[in-house]
Amino acid sequence: MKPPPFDLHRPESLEAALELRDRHGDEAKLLAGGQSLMPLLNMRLVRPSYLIDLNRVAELSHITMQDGRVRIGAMTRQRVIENSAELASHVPLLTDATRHIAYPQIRNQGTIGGSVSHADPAADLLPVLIALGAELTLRSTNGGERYVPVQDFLTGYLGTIIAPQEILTAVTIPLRTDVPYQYGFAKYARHRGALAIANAAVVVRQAPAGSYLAASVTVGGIGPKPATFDLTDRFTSCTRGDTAALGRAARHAADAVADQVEAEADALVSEEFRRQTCAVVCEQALRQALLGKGIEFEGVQQ
Amino acid sequence: MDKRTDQEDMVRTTKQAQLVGTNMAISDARYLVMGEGRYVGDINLPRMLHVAFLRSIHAHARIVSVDVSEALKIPGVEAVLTGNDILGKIAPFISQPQRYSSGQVTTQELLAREFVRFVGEPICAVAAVDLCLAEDAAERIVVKYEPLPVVFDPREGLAPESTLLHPQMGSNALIHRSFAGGDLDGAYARAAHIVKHSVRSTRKTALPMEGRGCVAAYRYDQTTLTVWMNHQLPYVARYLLSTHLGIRENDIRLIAPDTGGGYGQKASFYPEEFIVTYLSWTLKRPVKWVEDRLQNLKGSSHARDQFIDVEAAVAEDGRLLALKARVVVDIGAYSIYPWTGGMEPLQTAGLMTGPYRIANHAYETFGVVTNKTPVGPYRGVGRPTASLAIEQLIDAVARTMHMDPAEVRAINLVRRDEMPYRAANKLVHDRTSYYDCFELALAKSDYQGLRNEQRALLRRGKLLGIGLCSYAELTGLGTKTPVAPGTKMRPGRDSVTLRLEPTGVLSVLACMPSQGQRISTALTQVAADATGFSPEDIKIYENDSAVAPYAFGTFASRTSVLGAGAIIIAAGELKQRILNCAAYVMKKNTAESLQIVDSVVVSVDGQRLTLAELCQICFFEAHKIPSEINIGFDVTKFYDPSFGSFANGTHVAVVEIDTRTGRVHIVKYLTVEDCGRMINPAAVRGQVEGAVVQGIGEALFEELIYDRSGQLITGTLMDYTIPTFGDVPDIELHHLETASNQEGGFKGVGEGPQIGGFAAVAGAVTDALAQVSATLSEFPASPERILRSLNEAPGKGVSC
Amino acid sequence: MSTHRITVTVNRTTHEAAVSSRISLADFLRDQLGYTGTHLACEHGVCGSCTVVVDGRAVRSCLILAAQVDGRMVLTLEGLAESGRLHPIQQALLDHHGFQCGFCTPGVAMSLYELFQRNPDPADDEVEGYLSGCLCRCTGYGGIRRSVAALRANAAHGEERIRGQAD
Repeated sequence: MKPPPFDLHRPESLEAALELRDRHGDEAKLLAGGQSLMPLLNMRLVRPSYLIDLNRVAELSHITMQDGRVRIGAMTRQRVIENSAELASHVPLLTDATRHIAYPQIRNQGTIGGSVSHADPAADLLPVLIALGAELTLRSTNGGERYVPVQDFLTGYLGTIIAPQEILTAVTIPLRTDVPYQYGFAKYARHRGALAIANAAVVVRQAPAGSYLAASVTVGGIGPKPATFDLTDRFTSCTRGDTAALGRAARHAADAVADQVEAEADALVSEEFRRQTCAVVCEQALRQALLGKGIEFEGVQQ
Repeated sequence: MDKRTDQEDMVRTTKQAQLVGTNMAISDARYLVMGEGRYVGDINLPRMLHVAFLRSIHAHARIVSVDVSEALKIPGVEAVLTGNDILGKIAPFISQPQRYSSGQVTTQELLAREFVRFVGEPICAVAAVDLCLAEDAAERIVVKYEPLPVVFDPREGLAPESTLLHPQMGSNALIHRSFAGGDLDGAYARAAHIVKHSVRSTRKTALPMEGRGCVAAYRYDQTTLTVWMNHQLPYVARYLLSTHLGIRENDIRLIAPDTGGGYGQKASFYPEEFIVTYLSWTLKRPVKWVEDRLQNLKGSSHARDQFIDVEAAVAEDGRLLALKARVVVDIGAYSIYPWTGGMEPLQTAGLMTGPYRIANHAYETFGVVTNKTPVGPYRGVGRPTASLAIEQLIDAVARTMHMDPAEVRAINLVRRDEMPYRAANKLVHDRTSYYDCFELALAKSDYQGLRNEQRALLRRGKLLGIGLCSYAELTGLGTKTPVAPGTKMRPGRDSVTLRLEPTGVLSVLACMPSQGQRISTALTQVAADATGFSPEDIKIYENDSAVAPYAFGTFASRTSVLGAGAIIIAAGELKQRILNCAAYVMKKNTAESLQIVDSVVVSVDGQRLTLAELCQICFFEAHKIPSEINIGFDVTKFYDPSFGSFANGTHVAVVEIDTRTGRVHIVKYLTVEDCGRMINPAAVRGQVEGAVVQGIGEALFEELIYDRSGQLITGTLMDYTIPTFGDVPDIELHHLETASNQEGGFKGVGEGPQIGGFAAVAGAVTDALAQVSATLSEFPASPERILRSLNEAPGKGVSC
Repeated sequence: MSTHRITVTVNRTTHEAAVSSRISLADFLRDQLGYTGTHLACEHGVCGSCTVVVDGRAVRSCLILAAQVDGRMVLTLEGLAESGRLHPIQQALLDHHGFQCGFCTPGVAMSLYELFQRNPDPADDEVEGYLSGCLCRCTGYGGIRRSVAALRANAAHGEERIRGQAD
């Protein structure tokens, strides 16, 4: 199917883009990588009068390390994020999760900002950014800028709090260097590269002596937006290296999360199955973080 | 007889060597890999109009009014058609009456006028100067509907109180047939056990990567109407266009361009192509329509939506004494045109005994109309679900009798020394290798070793499953078999013309288009061997009614058989004519000492005359040769294989089920195929692998889901998913070659392996689950169904 | 609806064109420039048949607007062969039956193009990552798998380095 008619703007600066956004408000949609928006347009499920193409706004594409934080421009391609050595060394959880997004052909175009703005609860970046404590920068024409944590940005299925005059310009991730952390990411989808039925991002922080200071999991794909669970209590009495205990704790934690999380059924996936797959990815992600296994790509559980 | 053909062996033949049986390079496909294919969507002509259809959003409704006035206002819109506009101008699809009792017909107007009966049914057609405008205009059409109750479940549709989709039918059963062959009562009296089982296959679709499409061009050339249609049966398409539009048949030229997959979906007929042709005829300009994926999922035929109950009467030693089946098929809103909705119900029930010796066979089968997309033939048609049912039943028998599933099959497979074997359904099986393939499959897969491994893994809490499927597939149908059971139309008159050209090259005119099978390569090999021409000198014209003689077309695994047969017959005569002329020119007394080798006529005593030299004389210097000898080099023959021949195979699938995720990992997949004498083993491998993977898709992934209001929920490729690269195992192929008694000894291979893919993988899953008393009878065996099955098992399955 | 003037190099030829705002790169290539080697099989980014290479990166041309390739270099299936000589990827697909109907082939070929540009000997997992985004219905992926194996074998033996468009 072909898109409905719209006028296309291709601003070359953020200022120009903001001005257009201000002018057209609700009648315009922002075009980032297009990997989520274009299918909707092609199916005539959205009908904006204007498209504001951000692909010429060079200043929105960057990876900057500063003041103990990494700032990623909203238009930075997922593929660039995936291949960035800098990000791999500072936020490897982000790097690993990005590799799970769809296929390389999609990641070549898709952007971090576009994915976050689209707010599909199954998007692989969302639980990761939430787990990393990421913050979004929203700019509007009147010079205003606000910083919103990712979990507050999302309102539900495909919903965000972005105002019609705003543009998401950057994603900022704080770098915690005080305590080392381990991470895990797992995804369950019908086929490799398909949209997640469930995904989970885990961050675990350890004390030098080997005990666990904090553990949390953020699960996506289950409900209208990703949800975070603090699992610290389950691991404080575990020690690093105690594989059996950690494995058990991971299993119980995962089951508990799957039990508690708000889960939605739809015509294709039952609530029961969502919870089952949630438990699986939670456990996989926890095991990676705690036992140091490499990222498993939705493989057969060993 | 056992030939391992899993070498990647691109052998180009030398002079004397036979080409049939070799992996001759598919040189005629080079242009495809260069991006030079001409698919129907690639055709652009001056002044061409593009068509968009407005389709029903209700599954069942009365159309109260259709207002196209807003659509007509859009600049660039040239025409808008409604059902009223074509009333009396385009004949509706009235499916053939079945000769079986209660065989009903349905009438489908090509643009719905009074009623719509499935979501996606075309109501209006808009022709505009570009497709975007046509779609814009289609959206402006206002249709007022009065929704009617939806018939959703075919079993409910059979109830007397159900809404009737087609009131003139009297019920929703388009076809209802009962059959009993043999002595059922006697068999049941002798039986030691009665074993019952049920399976459900949910709805699937063929999903060729290219959707349907049509470009009709008025006065494109000297023919009044040239129509490019990516259809599998160009001559039948032309015939039906002629009869439905009232256009003289020889005013229509039908060309099947390069086609991106068919699998039977492009062998049925649908409204759109007729509307497009009509528009070109009346507007006198080229008109184009190409189906996009959303339309394809809703508007092109579906398949395999069945409920099957089976029952076996079993002797103490495991012999199947009798088979009873009850089959209910959801055939969608209309009886598919022109094959009828009887195809699946009659084939699934009628062919269920397959390669097994079951002398007493009874069934009751229903084809029930519902408010969904019409069901049409899809690779294997009724046989994949038939095999699913019989293989699942045999496994149930094995469990009941505490016998090994392979042992039960071994006892019941028809053996070579029983051939010709006349089954209860009166089909005669001959020249097949059911048991031999089975035996070899067990050996090559190390079946005993697999069972040992299965037991060992179970002790460690892991579920391995082994599935077996042996199929019998009737291929190469000729005139003795109706194209669809119970219908009048018969295939089998597929002609081929061999034509020598003035430069001495050979044209083979065979209207047997390829949708990927590369039939022309196989036919080139056969033609080269049959005539002695070098393959570089042979060109196959496969897709144009103005060029090639009448052929029924490409479906039902037959083209290689019929095309090859006709070529062999025609070649005999052509060679004779060539050699007679050559003998005269070479001053030989008779043609007997001559033969054609690599496009050169050679005599026993070493004299040579190239075909080019011969043709120079015969065409341009014909005074030099008596016309009683130079009678011409066009030879047209047809080959009628009459009954067709059974191809067969055995598939072994080994899966491991992840009990935590419900995922199925195919650990091993092995086939032993017997498709008669193979023309091109590499091409055969491509057919086997492609069909097996489609079968895997049916067993594990593919499912079209409707809600109770008849809305198609799985409307995109995000929701209807097929196997991807990482989902499929390496497939180990082995071959036996039992020649058919047909010309060349060939059989067809396009569909059989699909049966194996579905039934063997399904069987492997249920075999794995059975170890923990978990049951699953609805396919695809999705992770969700598998987890539910494990959770519901007594003792809650295995903890991992 | 707006119209946009673009300058784009396709298969080493530069074109100037006026495109409507809503026309996709795929439709522009196919209908306006006549490069019909790129195919549309879903238009929602799943099947991969529309894949082309833009500035060295394999992308879905059904999800990019024609207006967006102004100033860019596009490579399609038709551009792989040079002077009538098949690109090694094309040769491998032909030799090893990596296609049957040819409809998904542009996606397979152009995805493999990027894959082998980045890494002449990619690991299984990387191959699977690229090809999971290429749906094929005819081959069951067997021929594609064997074509890729041949390409990796060529790379290992140092034969015919896979060269292509400069990034």
